[in-house]
Amino acid sequence: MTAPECPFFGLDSLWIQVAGLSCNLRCAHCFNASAPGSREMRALSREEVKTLLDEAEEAGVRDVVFTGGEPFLHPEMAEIAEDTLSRFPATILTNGTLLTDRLVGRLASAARGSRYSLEFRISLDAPSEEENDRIRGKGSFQRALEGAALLDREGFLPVVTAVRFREDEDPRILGVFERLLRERGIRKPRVKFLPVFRLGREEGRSGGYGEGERVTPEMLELLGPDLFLCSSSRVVTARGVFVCPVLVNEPAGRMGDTLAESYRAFALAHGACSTCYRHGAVCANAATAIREE
Amino acid sequence: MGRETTDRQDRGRANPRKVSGRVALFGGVYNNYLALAALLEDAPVRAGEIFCLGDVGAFGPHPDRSVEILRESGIPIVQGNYDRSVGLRRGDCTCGYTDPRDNHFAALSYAYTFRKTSERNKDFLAALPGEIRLLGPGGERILLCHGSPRRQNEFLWESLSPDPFLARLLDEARCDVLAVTHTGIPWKRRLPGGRLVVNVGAIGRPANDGRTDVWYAVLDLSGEKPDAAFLPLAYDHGRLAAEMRAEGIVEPFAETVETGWWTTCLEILPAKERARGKY
Repeated sequence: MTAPECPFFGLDSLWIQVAGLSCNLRCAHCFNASAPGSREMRALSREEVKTLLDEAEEAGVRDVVFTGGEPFLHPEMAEIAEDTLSRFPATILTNGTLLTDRLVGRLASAARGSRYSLEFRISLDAPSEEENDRIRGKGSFQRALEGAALLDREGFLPVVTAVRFREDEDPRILGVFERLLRERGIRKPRVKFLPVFRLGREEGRSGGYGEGERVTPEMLELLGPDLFLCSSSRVVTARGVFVCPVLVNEPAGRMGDTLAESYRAFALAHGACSTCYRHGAVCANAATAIREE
Repeated sequence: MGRETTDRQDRGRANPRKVSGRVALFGGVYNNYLALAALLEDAPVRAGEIFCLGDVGAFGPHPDRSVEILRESGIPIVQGNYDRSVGLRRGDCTCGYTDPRDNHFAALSYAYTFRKTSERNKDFLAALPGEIRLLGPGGERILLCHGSPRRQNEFLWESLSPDPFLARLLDEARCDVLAVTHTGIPWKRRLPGGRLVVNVGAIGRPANDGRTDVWYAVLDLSGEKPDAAFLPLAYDHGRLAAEMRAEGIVEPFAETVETGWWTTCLEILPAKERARGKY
């Protein structure tokens, strides 16, 4: 079967793998297998990011998203956020465990000085300490919630993202998360559920994708290419430009050395593309995504 | 998904209507026929021409009243996602929400509006153009659309619309002035080089600013460069809330009308816009 091609409509969201695959946590389900001390992919320097922001301006990018690994392991993440916010809206995907008063205060002052939004996504995979820490590591639950509360105190509205391991999960889980966040001082809780991508470390746990789990031409025809992040986003890493943040550690996801080389259609041949199809452009910002759930 | 260009849009592009002086622009009526009636009193005093940027239905009571007022007024209307969905008898509003809570409330108001819109009015909404092109006195190419030039249901929020992105949208759509609605919160931006983007807000629901007034815009083409001003519009919001309750429309919508704070469809808001609201 030939995989259908997702066209590229133009760069709306520029993702930057700013911290490579280096992370202070080693979550059991991490789809790009980030880990402490990972040397698989180096971080990008502030200067490299500045050059990317120039390219983003040329391309008419709408927003910039920083990911890793853990972006706040980058020694110049605050400076990079400041550089970005003077020109673009930004989102930082973080585990929330490395936030300090000083760092968040500095980010808040950058955000107040910008006309654009600075969004944070904090990962928390269960509303109970025991369950979360089993997946994300001991102490991660308390530290992530402290990080989220710190952001709230400085006027940010972090989005807590939780991987939904079971599709038949009780929908009341949303209320449980919201209650937990309110108890921890987060006044306007925002919660977003993400599907499991059976890649990276998760592939070892769940066995990855079967051969039948692929996007077919008929499926693409039915819902259209807009729902795929790869129709309007690219990820820049120290190892080249990748089609989407999920395939950033997969050879099949590499689109070239430069952004310009990556502006082309992508064959939706990976098993993970079927997860994206079923759940929509899950990585996109709520405020810009167009998918109906 | 709205990336196609319709014949009607091509016709408008080839032969845009000429405008000058002051032009009133409003959108997001959301069945608020009382605000619409107030607008029809207020706008003619302030502007020579009036255009509607779409979404006649949603949220408020008695959808046919707004459609009929608009039809009788002869005001040109750009089709919004709601108008398209209702007109084409679709199953949902295609508002573009991504959160289940947002979609829950969106589905309630869509079901109400769909049920209460007459077949004749549905046909009227289905036939509206996807965009309107105007030509200013200085040759400015003015584009009126609902969400964005490229997508009827794209949200253009102030805090998520950097200058280079807006410049790209204007380049692609070949216009110098872009006016949109869809988000419900008014804002404007002068781009380097002088081009102008205006989100005219909505007259159907307050702008999440704690005021019961709603907002529309007046585009001023009499100066050296086109500019826009936002005008608050007072109407009998107490009566609207009472009629909403009488129609069985859910309480959070009536609360918004009475307080000026959004109570639903909050998850779509970017951080800056949400931080300004109460919820």
